[in-house]
Amino acid sequence: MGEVGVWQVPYDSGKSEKWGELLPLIPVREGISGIELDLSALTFIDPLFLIRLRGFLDWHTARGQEIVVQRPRNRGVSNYLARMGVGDGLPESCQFDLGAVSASDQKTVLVPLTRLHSQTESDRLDEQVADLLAAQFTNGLAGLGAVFSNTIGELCDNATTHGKNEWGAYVAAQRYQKRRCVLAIGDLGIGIPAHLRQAHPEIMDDGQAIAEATKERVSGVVGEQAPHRGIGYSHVIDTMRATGLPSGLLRIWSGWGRFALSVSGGRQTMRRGWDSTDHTCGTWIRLELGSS
Amino acid sequence: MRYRMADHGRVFSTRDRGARLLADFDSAYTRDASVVIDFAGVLSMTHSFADEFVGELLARSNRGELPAPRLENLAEVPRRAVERCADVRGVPAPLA
Repeated sequence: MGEVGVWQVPYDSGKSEKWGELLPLIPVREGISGIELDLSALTFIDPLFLIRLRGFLDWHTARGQEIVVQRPRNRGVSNYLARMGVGDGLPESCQFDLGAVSASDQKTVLVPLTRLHSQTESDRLDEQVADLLAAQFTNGLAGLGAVFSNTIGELCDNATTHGKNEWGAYVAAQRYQKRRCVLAIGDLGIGIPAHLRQAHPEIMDDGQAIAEATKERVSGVVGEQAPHRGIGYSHVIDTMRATGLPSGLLRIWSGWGRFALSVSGGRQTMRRGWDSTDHTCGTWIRLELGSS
Repeated sequence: MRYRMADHGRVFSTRDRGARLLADFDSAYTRDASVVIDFAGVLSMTHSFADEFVGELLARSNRGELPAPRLENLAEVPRRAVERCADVRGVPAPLA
């Protein structure tokens, strides 16, 4: 048996800006036969960290690795992971005992951890979003429903088609207080830069590739369908502007590239693509929306 | 012919679903002289879905294969998705 890799996740890695601690673990380091993942110090879980954690477990167990996960010491955090279903349906080679779920208010969970493997599941998510629009996107979140539903729709479509892979797409969303929500969508597929290069091999930098992919009619699709493809990301960004979104931050991690775009009062205030020193398998997206 | 979107759902996201709805439309279409697509009750529709369903209907109409479909009861954001997919395909969008 080879070396067992041990990773202790720092207490604040669940926060979106710190989640990079988990990024370099995919693809797995050569020569590792087992993994011990220590989440005991975690005190907060962002939806992006949640879906990334499940992607991490799926990726490594599928490669025959045995994984032992130490659950968070904080009972609220551990219970949140259990309620969001991060340990559901894991193979026997992964030990992740989160204990029994204790009763708790779930009204702030917009979308629990969901894996989309088929179009039927995408259709089901559509109806789930329809229910959410009526039940949750009222009062403080009223102005955010259009952006939320368009983003989850377009990006899940991308994840289950261009990013198609054996694990499907991962989705989770959470509301914070009454005026803010976070949506996270990811997949372990080909990634935006590699997909885009199928039609645009001249684009070398991954960060630039992601930035280009967010422009209208720029797509990795080739052939007769190409002229009316490449509209998903641009539609999401256009909806953020057109609906006068008070506050929005879209972030994308894919390959070596990173991308960030912010909107304030319906006006784009920042748009940037760049390369990182950490490689990310697949495509991972986080959208934060605020109504004030 | 009046094709009611609400009979199929309230939120429409994927290209695959657009293609399936187009197949359903085809099976229901009996060469009527007028076609109305009724979006009453539709809360959300992505650009990708709109392109695969409405965009394809508009393209067929532009080729003379179908009467120009009248698009009714579109809410603001879905309406924008239809306008943009018509623009991308270079065809007129007969919005009510």
